[in-house]
Amino acid sequence: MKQRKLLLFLAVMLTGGLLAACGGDAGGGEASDEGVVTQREGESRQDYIDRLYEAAQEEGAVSYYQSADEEELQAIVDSFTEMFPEVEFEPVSATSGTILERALLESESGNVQGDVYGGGSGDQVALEEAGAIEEYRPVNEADVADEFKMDGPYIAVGYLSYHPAFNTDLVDEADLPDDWMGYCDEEWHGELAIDQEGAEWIAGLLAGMGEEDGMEFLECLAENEPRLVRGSTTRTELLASGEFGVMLDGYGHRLWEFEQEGAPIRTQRPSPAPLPVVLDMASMLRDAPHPNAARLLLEFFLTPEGQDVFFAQNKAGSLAGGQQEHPYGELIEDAELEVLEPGAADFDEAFQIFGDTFLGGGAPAP
Amino acid sequence: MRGSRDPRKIIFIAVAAILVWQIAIPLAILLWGSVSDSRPGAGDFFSVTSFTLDNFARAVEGGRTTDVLINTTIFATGTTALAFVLGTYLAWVVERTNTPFRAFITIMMILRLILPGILTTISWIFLASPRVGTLNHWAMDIFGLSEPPLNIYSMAGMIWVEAMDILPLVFLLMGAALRSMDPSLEEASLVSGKGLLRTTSRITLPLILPAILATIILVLIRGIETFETPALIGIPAQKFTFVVEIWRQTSTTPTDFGLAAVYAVLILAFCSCLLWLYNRMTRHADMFAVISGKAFRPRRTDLGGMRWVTCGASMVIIMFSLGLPMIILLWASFYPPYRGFQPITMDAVPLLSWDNYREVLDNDLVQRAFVNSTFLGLTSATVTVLLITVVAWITVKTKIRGRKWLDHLAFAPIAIPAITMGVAFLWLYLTLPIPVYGTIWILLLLYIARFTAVAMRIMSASMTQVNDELHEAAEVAGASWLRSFRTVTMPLLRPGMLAAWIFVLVHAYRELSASLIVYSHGNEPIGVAIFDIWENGSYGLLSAFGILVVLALVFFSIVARVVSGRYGVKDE
Repeated sequence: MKQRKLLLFLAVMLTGGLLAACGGDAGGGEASDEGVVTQREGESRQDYIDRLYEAAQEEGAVSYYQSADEEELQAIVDSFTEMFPEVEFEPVSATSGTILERALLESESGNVQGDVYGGGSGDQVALEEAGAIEEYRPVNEADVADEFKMDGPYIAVGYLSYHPAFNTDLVDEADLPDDWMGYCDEEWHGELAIDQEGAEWIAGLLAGMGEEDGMEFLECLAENEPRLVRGSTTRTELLASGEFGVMLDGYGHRLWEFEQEGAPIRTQRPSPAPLPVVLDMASMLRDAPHPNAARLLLEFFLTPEGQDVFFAQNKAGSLAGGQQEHPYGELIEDAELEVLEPGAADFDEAFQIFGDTFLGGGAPAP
Repeated sequence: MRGSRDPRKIIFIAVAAILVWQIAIPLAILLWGSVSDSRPGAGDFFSVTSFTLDNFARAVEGGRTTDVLINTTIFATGTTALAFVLGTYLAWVVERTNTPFRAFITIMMILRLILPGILTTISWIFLASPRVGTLNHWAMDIFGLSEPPLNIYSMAGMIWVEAMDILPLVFLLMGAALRSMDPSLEEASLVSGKGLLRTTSRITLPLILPAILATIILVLIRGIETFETPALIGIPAQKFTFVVEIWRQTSTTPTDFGLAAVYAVLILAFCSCLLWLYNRMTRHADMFAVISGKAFRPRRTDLGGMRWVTCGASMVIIMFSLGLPMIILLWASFYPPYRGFQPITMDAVPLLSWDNYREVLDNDLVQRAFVNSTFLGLTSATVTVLLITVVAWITVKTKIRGRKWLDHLAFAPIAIPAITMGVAFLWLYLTLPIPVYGTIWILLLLYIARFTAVAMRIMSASMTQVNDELHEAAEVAGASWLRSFRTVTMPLLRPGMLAAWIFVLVHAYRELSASLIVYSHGNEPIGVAIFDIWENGSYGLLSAFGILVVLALVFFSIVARVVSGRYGVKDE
């Protein structure tokens, strides 16, 4: 009898937990336009941002969801806090998949806790399709270069470019091929490395080369069995170690940093065409609990101080030329850039192609 | 029972509720997630209309699941076989022979046990990477080879590295079994003229067979759930295991939580079968008797001159398991940044500097990780041990109905791979409106759930040795039940509690795979920080950090040994 009671108790506990889960709406982050500061007719940028800052102070904090590396995130926190000391910066970071999942879950459950989402085109498209972000066009966007002005509810704060690079002790620069197909030659078998999660690079190549030529290249490249290494910096470090002769998809800013520090590596100049470029983007989450602070952070990203955070790490910003010298302009000189805007590529498809081509196939997408 | 207000009943209900919350509910959500086409947290996630078998169908359809299953099986069985042979050999040398330096071997194995697996995995990459591995360079220089003889990025490499990591666990488990054997049967066999070989095969082996099988099962579970080696070596080698697949599906955009749940459920089911087997085999054998009351010592075989051979072989194993990884980590910690990793050569010596140590001591992430892991280690160890002491008391010392269920529930996490538990916690706290996700508290709850099982075994063994008479005498003398438990039973359990506390503390410092799923900025424990620095490619910084972690763990262990020695906890 008592054992039955225990089982009943456990069942009630389990059911209770599940029921509590079903009703998981905690309120929080109520949508309202009330109290949101907008730019007045004829109001100067600075006056508007001052008012925005005042309103953000009342909100107290801004929550920033992203998957940036530690160093970059800390630089953003420091710079923003120096500029707007009365608004507490609350970074929430995790791996890109987890942080995106969290933002989507919060949106679906109506329990939004984040204000601004920082991430690549793939993430922004997923959030846009789920209705999880809302449009805010920063007044500072007027300073952004035309090619980085977005149509959707997000802004481009900078960009990353993917370059081939080689170990100078192992490879003679003169032996490098001029086009991507040259890396299919047998002489490169076992000498190449690419990212283990190389969907964005692949999306860029397919967009620039066209579906047919792009697939032909990827398939012949797979026959050369490139080493799959997760993380651009790890690949760069292994390239410097001499673990392989060439990496095909290094981040420009990271390669430049290693070159400047005297590592035995060199970026291929000019890069074979196309040179995939992905955007670093930010957007305001719908029903953000601190809407003014969210707007303030987006404005911050497009100030010279905000852009300095990226420049400090040799990354390229999105402001129009003349405001800052490109940190690694030498690497993109004469290169044919393929800028991957949201909507310009199907990242899910690229992910599937990568899995099929380099990982021996994967499960079909849900 | 003494009526409905009996404090024992209330305590039973309270701890049962905690265990259900910590273990059963996360798993229930995970299981449901594998048959739901909705995202956890979405409005219709728990609706029956979201029921689907599509996730399982996709897992089968892709064909990849078969490859992953084969890889996981080869990896886990290969690792188990190698670790079992080497670990049992060392245990035999230490417990049953007169080989010299036995105490040294034991200390080295305990030291190896506390080292985070991710550090030794990285060390082996530095040692046996085809192009830059130090062992390959030495082999090519010494033997004039044109090709590097070793390739760590292979299934054999994965098995080797993981076996070296699991070796100390086998050593301790098999050592305990060999030590607990009553020697009279062996002695009778030898006296009656049977040789050493025959005695070993006819007497010794059958006697410890349950312990052997139980060790193999535990190590097999460990091989299935391990993350570091399959992630760092398996991925470049394109040898994907279930755990890596779960991690990829949950951490990389686009995520596929349905498929991750299917993989998690599959390994959970397999590990549960192994656990069932384990329970059957250990019904009458107490393998985890950390504090044993035996009054005999098995006889040691006099190996004569051969004892130097067994000693040499043991030192070789220790060199591979602990010595070489530590040497290479130390070397890399002094190597300058932006040069990648370079093998140990005299030419590179002038380049060495303290820069990495200066940088690591100034690194925010490193400082945070030390603080976080210390907090998590101390807190999870304390809470887990207190909770499990009560659970063990209920299951061992009371006749409360349902206590067996409590026992099974507390031991169940041994069959739950760490990454599976991480995903289950992620879903639970993303789904429920409890503000735990994104804070250090989710890691604490996760660690408590993770380490419940082993703490349970240690405390159960300890509890069985506490005589009821003292507790009953206190109650007869008028002390309330609660007071007699606090003032009589708990002090008697102190050695067991300390042993469990040390175990949880050390393993909390090592934890990576479950933490990787639920950590967030500001809450990174040491394992995650090491992984993060590895992914960012700062090998020198990483190695310096690793050396500091090792020093911290050695310091903790020495303190724990001194403290526990005062309370009568034996080395094992």
